[in-house]
Amino acid sequence: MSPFDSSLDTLLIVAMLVVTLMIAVGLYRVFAGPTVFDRLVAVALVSVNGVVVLVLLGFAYERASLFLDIALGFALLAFLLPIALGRYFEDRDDGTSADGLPSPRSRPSPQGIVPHGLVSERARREQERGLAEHRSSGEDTGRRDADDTGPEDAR
Amino acid sequence: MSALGIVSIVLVFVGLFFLVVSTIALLIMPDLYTRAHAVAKSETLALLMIFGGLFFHPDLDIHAAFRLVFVLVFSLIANPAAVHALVRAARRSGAEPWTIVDQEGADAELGAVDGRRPS
Repeated sequence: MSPFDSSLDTLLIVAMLVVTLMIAVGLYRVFAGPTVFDRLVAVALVSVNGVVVLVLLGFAYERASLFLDIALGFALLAFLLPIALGRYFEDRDDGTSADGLPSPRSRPSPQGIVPHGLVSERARREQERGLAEHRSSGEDTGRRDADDTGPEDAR
Repeated sequence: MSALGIVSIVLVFVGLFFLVVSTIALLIMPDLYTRAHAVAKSETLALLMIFGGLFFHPDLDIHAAFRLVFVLVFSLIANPAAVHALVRAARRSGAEPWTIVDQEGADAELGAVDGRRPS
């Protein structure tokens, strides 16, 4: 092996270290993202960076075929994770869900997994909106409850 | 370093630049949609550049080249698709796009009266 080839490998190792640093930076968004979807987008980026790290390591260590197999498996898993978790955390307005079951808001929540910011944020907004409607409508409330299927709900 | 090695390392570092830009955008962008934009587009371009650079690596044999093309094509399809599915789920869940907070200041800057812009 000539020293020039080893300098090429050194540059690949440098690139790999930079990508590893970018994984660490992307993990900040995983921990700090205000909603669960921010975290999942950051996880998608981190896993693509992981694939790049694996491939660069494989070329630097001259085991490209082996590391590319591992990278392919990792890429398959990294493709499934955001799609599955996005479906799981999806929370539609009309209470339906992709699998026909009730929306996740009305399912029992596993402790420690579900406290994502989006649901609490929307609950707060709905609470504010409900209070505002209650304040503005006054004694109209009874009539509004009577025709619940009116044009206001048809939006 | 051979000419192929120079081409390889230049392409890898150009891809690295896009990867760094994409990660920084993930940090500093204001809402989910802009962050997803950075991840879906810039990151995919970075992947294309880096794998294209490694395709010119002098040590590449036929087995590694086949796997490299396979991983590249799969990632080019899978990464934007996954981010798209995520953003669609977030949209259905009611995530709101980032907008201008200072609406009055923006109206004054545009010469608008009562929120209506001059046509």
